[in-house]
Amino acid sequence: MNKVYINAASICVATPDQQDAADNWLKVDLPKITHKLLSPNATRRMSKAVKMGIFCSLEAVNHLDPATLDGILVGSSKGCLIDSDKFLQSIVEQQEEFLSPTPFIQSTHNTVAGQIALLIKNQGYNMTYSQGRISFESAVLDAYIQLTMNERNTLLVGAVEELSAISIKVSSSFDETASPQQTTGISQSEGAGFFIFSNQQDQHTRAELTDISIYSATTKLSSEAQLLAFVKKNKVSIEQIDAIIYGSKNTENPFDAISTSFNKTRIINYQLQIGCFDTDIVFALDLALKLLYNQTLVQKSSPIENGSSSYQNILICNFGEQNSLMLLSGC
Amino acid sequence: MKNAVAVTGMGMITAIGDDVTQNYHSLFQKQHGIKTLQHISGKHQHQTLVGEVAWTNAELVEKLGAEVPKNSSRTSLLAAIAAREALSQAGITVTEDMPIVMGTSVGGMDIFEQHFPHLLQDNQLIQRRDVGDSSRVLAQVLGSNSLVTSISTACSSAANAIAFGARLVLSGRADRVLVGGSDALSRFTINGFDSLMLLSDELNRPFDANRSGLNLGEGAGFLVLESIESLKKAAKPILGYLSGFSNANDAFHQTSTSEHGEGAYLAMKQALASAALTPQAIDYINAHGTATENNDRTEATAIVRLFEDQIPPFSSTKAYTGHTLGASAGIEAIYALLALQHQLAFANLRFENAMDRPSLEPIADHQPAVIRHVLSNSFGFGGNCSTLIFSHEQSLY
Repeated sequence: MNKVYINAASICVATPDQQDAADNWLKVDLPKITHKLLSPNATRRMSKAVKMGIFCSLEAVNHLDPATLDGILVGSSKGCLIDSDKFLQSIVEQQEEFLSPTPFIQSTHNTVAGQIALLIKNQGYNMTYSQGRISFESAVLDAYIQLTMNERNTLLVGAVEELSAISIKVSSSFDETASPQQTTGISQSEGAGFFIFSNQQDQHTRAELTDISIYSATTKLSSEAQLLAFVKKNKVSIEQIDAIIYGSKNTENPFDAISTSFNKTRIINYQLQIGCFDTDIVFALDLALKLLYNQTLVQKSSPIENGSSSYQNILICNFGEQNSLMLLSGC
Repeated sequence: MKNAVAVTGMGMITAIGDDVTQNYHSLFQKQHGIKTLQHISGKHQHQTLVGEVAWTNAELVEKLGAEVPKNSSRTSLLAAIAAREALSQAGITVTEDMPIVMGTSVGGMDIFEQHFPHLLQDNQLIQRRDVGDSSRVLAQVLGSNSLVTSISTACSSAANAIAFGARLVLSGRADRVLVGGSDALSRFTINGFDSLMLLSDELNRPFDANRSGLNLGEGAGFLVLESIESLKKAAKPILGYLSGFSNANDAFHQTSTSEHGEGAYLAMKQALASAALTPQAIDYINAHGTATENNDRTEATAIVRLFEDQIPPFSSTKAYTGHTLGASAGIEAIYALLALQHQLAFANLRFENAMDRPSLEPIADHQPAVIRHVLSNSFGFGGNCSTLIFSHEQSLY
């Protein structure tokens, strides 16, 4: 079985400064995309999800010979929400008459993956997963299986979520008491992250993705039991895990309920920094890659003290309706 | 066939039948299910031709005979009915550890749009819209605690879900999986395709020179896939094999396909390679054949490029069911398996005149034949092209 490496990463999320000042909804400042492949005309028609996806993808494939990219996998829970909302609203307001097809065309969940393929002329595998908070991990699992089984060698794997003004309005119009800020203290946000996964190591390799698992915690098999079994299966002891980076759908710290096994492990929740969106785990992956590659992280408002400890194994956990575990190791 | 996995169960619901037996009967009798829209109010009701499942949501819940969450999407109800049938045929009663992979284009849009933008102060309705919500409800109804995920690549969604399920089995991550697709008709998609001027106001005629667009449909089709190794330990009837699968991108345009059908050509070619078969081994093609000008011309072009002068009998069954979008590849996977089971290639209804370029005729009548391998195509927006190959139960050994 081949190993899986992550050779490039690019993310686009809100900054901690924004989070400090934000209300319930935290929008990402879109970076300016200047690229020889993109005319200003082309970007004008793109929705924010597509733009964020394109921005991160172009950065991630920067060092790559385009001919070696075997496919594009995207996870998105809500897909192209802005265009979908726009089309829904036009159906209501125009009573199904004289509708412009553009928002419908762009509302399709796989628009981002399709547009990236179109832009970089990639005729390879093109997949879009949509399953709540494990949308990105579904794409990662697919890529992991194909790379380990040598079906494909190099894949662009990412995720994207966008906020939509119409959806915010609809959500805000009722249930004021349960607005996200008040329930979790974390703003609803948006963002994207794209990574190059390959079964070949290269000079840019950041880390190895040792394994991934998606599971439901059941009464028979708790989160803790699953976590310990996963680590054990990968021949790593809990003491060898240098950090756990986690995201969660809920406010309560999932590790409070977990035994003392992790007492000595550094545990980081990243959502306080960037707000939350369904595929915000891309930030955790990027953070883990930085820790493993640079060994320390010097960053303003970082939740991590700049210690001298070295990082070799990092576990990324996502807790929601389904949970996920990703084990990363330094190369 | 190193990539083969066994099919041990199939289940479906469409405009031409509530289960696999009824669907086969309708196909055999050449009875289509295209009528004017009944269940969705508005401009298209009683006007637009669709392949609609006759039952209301309340009737579907009753048919299911199970507790379902409030305001469940029609997509999840159709999926649950099809999935139940597939599991029952495979003799599976314990689904706890069985991964579910579902393809769908718009998920719970059917229920969400009924209340948009006034969501009845109901938080759950917001959630219903998420593509992944319909599969979550399906898993809940079936009692699965394993991996549940959805693929949404427009009209090829179910083909990709079936292929990912096969990968879970082939990689040893699961012994068996439940895979397929479901999509309910919605005001959203009907108006979407209408705004693109792709809806025909006549009964659709795939591959006909005088075709005038598609009729939308709804339904669900699910398969149980099992590893050949695990079946050696506990034998059960095998309905056929998924022997090859592929996905490629046309990388040409968001909604229309390239002149030479590059994505379709690559998908078919790579699926054959994955099944280790030559084009000559294919005995029947269940085409995507939506009856739009663009699809049928470019799909036929791709078929000619790959099969050259030995084109196998081919037809589109969308003349019977309408285009069921994200569910179509699940439904048509079962038609491919029925073709293998009954050694019958299905008639392409309403075909009269061959197209010009390329001049290629689907089979206008049912054709009994020796069928060992069936190729099934599904193409979607975003240049998404997928091909599955199903092989006869006796073709492997």
